[in-house]
Amino acid sequence: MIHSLFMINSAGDIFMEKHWKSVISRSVCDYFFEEQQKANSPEDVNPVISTPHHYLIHIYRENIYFVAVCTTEVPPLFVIEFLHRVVDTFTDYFGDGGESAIKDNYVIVYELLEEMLDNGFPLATESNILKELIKPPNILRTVVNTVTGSSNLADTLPTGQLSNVPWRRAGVKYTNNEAYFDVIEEIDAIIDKQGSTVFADIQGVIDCCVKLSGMPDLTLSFMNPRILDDVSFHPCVRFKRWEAERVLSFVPPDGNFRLISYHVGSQNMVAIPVYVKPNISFREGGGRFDVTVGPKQTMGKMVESVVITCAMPKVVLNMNLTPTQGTYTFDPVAKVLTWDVGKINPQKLPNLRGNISLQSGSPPPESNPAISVQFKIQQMAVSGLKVNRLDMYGEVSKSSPKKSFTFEKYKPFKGVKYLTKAGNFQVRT
Amino acid sequence: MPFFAGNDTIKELRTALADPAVQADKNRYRQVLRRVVSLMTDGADMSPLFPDIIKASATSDLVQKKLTYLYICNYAAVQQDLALLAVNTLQKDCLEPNPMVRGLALRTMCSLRIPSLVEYIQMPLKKGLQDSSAYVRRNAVNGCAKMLHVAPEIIQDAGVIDQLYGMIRDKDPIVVVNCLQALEEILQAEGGVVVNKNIAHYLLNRVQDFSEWGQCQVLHFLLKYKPSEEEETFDIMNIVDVCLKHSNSGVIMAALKYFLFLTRDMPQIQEQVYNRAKSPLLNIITSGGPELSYVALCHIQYILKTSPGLFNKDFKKFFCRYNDPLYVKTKKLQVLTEMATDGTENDIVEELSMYCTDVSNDLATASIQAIGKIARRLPTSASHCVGTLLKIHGLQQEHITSAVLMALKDLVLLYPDIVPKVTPLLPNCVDLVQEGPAKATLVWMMGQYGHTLPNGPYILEDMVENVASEISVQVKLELLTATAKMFFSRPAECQDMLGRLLEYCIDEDTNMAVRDRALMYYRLLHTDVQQARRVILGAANRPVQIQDSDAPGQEVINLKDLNTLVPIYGRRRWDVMVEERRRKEDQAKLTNGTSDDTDMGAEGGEEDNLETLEETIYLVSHYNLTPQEFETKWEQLDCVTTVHLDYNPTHSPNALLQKLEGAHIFTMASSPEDATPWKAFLFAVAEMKDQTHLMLVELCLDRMAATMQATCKFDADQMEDAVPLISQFGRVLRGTITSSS
Repeated sequence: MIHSLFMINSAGDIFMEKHWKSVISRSVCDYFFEEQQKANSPEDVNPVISTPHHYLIHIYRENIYFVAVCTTEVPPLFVIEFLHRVVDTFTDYFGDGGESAIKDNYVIVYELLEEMLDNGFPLATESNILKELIKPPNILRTVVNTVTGSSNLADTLPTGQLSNVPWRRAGVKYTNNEAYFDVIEEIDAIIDKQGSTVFADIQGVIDCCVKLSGMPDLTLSFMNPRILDDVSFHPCVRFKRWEAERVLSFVPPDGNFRLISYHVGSQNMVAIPVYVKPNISFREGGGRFDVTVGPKQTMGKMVESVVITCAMPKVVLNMNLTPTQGTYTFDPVAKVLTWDVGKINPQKLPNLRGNISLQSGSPPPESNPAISVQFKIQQMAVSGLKVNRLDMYGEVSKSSPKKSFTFEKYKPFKGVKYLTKAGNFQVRT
Repeated sequence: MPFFAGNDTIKELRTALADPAVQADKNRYRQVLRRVVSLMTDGADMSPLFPDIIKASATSDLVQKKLTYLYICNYAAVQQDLALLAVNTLQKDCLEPNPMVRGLALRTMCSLRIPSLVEYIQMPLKKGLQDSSAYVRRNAVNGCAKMLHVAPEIIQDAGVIDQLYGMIRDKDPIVVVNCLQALEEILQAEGGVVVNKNIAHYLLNRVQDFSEWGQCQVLHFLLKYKPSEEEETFDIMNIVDVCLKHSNSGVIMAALKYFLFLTRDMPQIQEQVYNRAKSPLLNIITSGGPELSYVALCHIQYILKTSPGLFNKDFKKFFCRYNDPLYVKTKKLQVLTEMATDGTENDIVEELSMYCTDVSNDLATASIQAIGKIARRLPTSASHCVGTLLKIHGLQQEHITSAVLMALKDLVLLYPDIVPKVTPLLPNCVDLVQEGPAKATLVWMMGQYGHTLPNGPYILEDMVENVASEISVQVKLELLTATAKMFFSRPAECQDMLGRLLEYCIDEDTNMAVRDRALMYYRLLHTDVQQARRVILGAANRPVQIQDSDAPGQEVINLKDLNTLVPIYGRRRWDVMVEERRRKEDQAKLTNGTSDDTDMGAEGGEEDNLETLEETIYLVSHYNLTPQEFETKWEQLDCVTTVHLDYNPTHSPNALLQKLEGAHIFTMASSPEDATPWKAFLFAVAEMKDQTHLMLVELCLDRMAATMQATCKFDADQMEDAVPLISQFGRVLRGTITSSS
C-alpha cells in the first residue's frame, strides 16, 4: 500500500519525506522529475507514474507535489483521496498547507503523518480525533508552551476514539450553543459565443458549524428536497431516513464539517445569473476588445465581486483598454487580462473596451480566447433549494449510565445562509 | 541527496545533549532534539548520536519521547548492537499506565525490524493484543503485520492467527480493519484472510461504523465471499447502497466494484448498478480535483468497453475546460471519441473541432485524430467529419494541417467518394507540411490522387529536386512510389523526373530500403512496362479495412481490474508492463542471486522506456519449421530485401552458422563447407509490437570477392510494416556475422 510520502516543491527539492515501511531511496523520485520535465506547466504532470518497482501517485496542491510511493497494486482513487486529506489536515492545522508552513511545523507534520497512516494503511483522518491526539499550534499556545513548558500533546487518549459515534467525542460542553448552516452553490458552465448554454451544472454543499453541548440529534428538512437527487453525505447522516422521508437526520461532529454535497444539472434547467457579451477581433498587428457584463436571472439580488479573466494568445503584446467601472490589469508575461468589476449595476452595465497590440510580424491568432467569470450572489441558492426547519432532539447524557437518563435542555441559536458563486464559469468567444 | 554533517555539528549536539543545564530545561532539551531530527530528515547522517538519544528516550515528556522514537526508528538498522539498549526503555514504556505511551512504544518497537531483537518484542506484542486500550490494540495488530517480515515463524504461529481472527470481533472498528489487513498479509501464501458467511454478515452490519478508509478495505475483503442466494445478495446490496453515495471517491469505486461482483451473474441487475453508479462517477469528474477526475475518467473509459451507451446522455460533462491539465483533457478527448454514436456525434465532432486551436499542439493533433476515428467508425457521420476536417485545414498551421492530412488518408481509403473534395487541398499543404510521417502521407496522396490536379506532376517535381536534402526514409520511399504512379497517368510530364529520381536513389542514397525499391522499379520498368503498371498501381484496388483496436464494445472487461491501476494503463499496456517487470526481476535474480525489493540502486535509469521497446525486435529462441513449410513460404512471400555483407575468410561457414544459431537465426539447410558457391537457408521469427513475423534468408557466399549476399523474405502484409523489421533484422545479421568470434 502506501509505503512512503515525498513532498517536492516547485523548484524540485524534496523537502520532506516519510517512510511507513522500509526506507525507500530518494532516487525513486527521479522518475517523477523525468515526467515533470516533459510537462509544459506544473499542473500537467501525469498523476500516476510507473517505475520498475513502485508506482508513484501524486497530487499537486499549494505549489507542492505530494508524491506517494506504493508497491503493490492499489486503488488509485483511495490513494489520491488520502493525499488530499493529508493536505486538508495540514491546512486545518497550520492555516495553510504551503511549504513554509510545513517546514515550520515539521515535528507536528511527522506526528500527524504517523497517526494518519501505519503499516501502509490509513488510520484516523477525522480532524476531531486528530486534534485530540495532537494539539494544533497557535500563537497563544506557543507562548503558553514556552512559558509553562507544557507539551502540545494530549496526555490522555481522546475519548472520541472509544465513543459509539466515531466522529464525535463525548462530553462536549458550550456556554453558547449555536448551529450555523451555509448553503453554498457553485455554477459550472460553458457558454458559447451566442450566449446559449453549452453545458451547465450546479454543485452545492452544505457546510456546518455546529457547537452544541452533549450528543445532539438534529433533523434538517427542506422545502423542496426533490431538487437533491444526487447527493453525497457525511457519514453521520442516516441514509435510510433520507431515502424514506427526504430529511437529513444526524448526530453532528463537533465544529466545522461538510454535511452534504450535491449536484443539480442534466435534468433541471440551470438559471444562468450573468451574461457576458464579448466582441474580440484580431487583424494584422492588432485587434479590438469589447466586453460587456450584465445580470440575467438573479431573482432581484445584487451580483457582487465580479472578476473577469481572459488568457490572451501568446502573440498579444499589450492591451490598452478603458473600463466604465472597476480596474483592469494585463500581465504581459503570462498574457492574462484581469478585470475587477465589483458590483453590477443593472442600470449602467459595466463595459471594458479598447485596443490590442500584437507582436509585429506575427500572424493574428486563429481563435479567440475564452473568458472566465467569477461572481457572488448573497442570500440566493441558484437551484432554488430552501431549508425548511432545523429540529433538535434532546440528548441523553451518558456520563452516568447507572442513574436514570438526564436530558440536557437548551435552546440553540440557529442560522442558515445562502450563497451562489461562479465555479468554473467560462464563456467562449 | 544525503550529505554528511560535519563532525563539529555532531560534537556540538552531543555536548548540548549531555549538558546538565540543558537536560534540566525541558524546552531547551526539546530544541536540541528537534535540531537532530530536522538534520536527520534533511538527509544528514546523525547515527553517531545514537547512544545519547537512547538516554534521552527515558523521559516522561511525551514530545521528547516522540522525537527520540522517530530517531530510533530511523537509525536502528544502522546501529543494530546499540538498538538493544533502546529496547530496554521501550519495554518499560510498554508497561506505562498512559495508553498513548504504551501504543507509541509498541509501534516503535515493531518498526525496528531487527531480527536479533525479536525475542524481546514478542511478549509486549502479545500483551498489546489484549490491552484494554483500543489505541494499543491497533498498534499491536499492525505490529504483527510488521513483524511478519522480520520473524515470520513467530507470527505464523497458530496462536497469533487465531487471536487475530478472534479480534475481528473487536469493539473498535479500526482494530477490526487492521486485523483483516494483518491476516491478509500473514496468510498470503494460503490466499489471504478467509471471509465466511458469518464474518461477511458481521462486517456488513458494521459497515457504517468504519471510517471511509476502513470501508474501502472492508469492501475489498468482502469480495472474497459470494452470497449463495439471490435474496441474500439483495439484502447485502441494500446495506452497501449508502457507500455509493459517499463523499469519498475511493469508497464509491470500491462499492461499485462490490456491486458488480455481486451481480455478475445477473446482467439486468448489473445494468441497473451501472445506472446507479453513473451520477457518482460523473460527480468525481466535475467536482473532484484533476487527479481524481483523471482516474475516474480512466475508469469510465474502461467501463465503456462493455457498456458503450452508458454515458451517452451526459456527453457534455466530458467537454474540456481550458484550465484542465493536459492529461485530463487528453483523457476526456479519448472518452468523447469512444462515446460518439448516432445522435451525439455531430455535437461531439463540433466540440472536438474547438480543441484543435488549443495551445498544446499535442492536444490539437489528438483532437483531429479523434475526429478521424469517429468518421471511420460511424459511416453516417463521415461526410460531416470530413467537412469539419476540411474547415480545420483552413487554419494553415503546420501541426494542424499535418494531423488533418493523416486523418484524411485513412478516410479516403474507406470512403472513396470524398476523394474529389480532398484532392484540391493537396497543393496548399506542400509548403506547410515539412515533417516525416505527415509529409510521407502527403506524398502518398499525391501519388494516389494527384494525377487529377493540373499541376500535380510539378508539385512532385519540386520534391524530387530536393530529395537529396530529405532525411526521412519513409518520405523517400513514398516519393518513389508516388512518382512512379504519376508516371503511369501522366507519362509525358513525369518521365524525366522519374529518371532523375531513380538515378539519385540508386546511385547516391545510402539507405538500402530506398535503393532496393528504386532498383526494383527501375528493373520492372526496364523489362516490361505493362507488368510494372500492374505491380505499382495494383495495390490501389485492394479493399481496405481499418480496425481500431480500442474501439468500444469490443472487449469484455475483467471485474477484478476495476479500482486498480489497470484502467489507467489499459489492459494491454498493463500486461506488457507486468511482463517487463517480471523480466527485470528475473534478470536481477540472475545477477544478484536474490531480488531485493528495497534495493533501489538498480533503479538508476537502466530501464528501457516503452517507446524504444516497441522499436526493437526480439528473435524467438525456439521455433519449428519443416522443410516443406519453408519451401512453400519461400515461394509465397513477396516482401524481399537483399543485404550485402563482407565475409571474413578466417571464419569457416559452419562456424558462422553456429554463431547465427546463437543469435536465434536457425539453419534450415546448407551446402557442404567447401562447396562453391556456398549457400545456406536460414530462418528466424521476430516478435514486434505484439505480432510475430517469420523471416526466411538465403545466404550466398562469394569466396572470391569475400562478400556475402543475404536475400531476406519477410512474412509481413505491407511494405510499411516491414521497413523497421528489415532494418532491424539487417542490423542483427550484420552484427552477428561481422563480430569477431
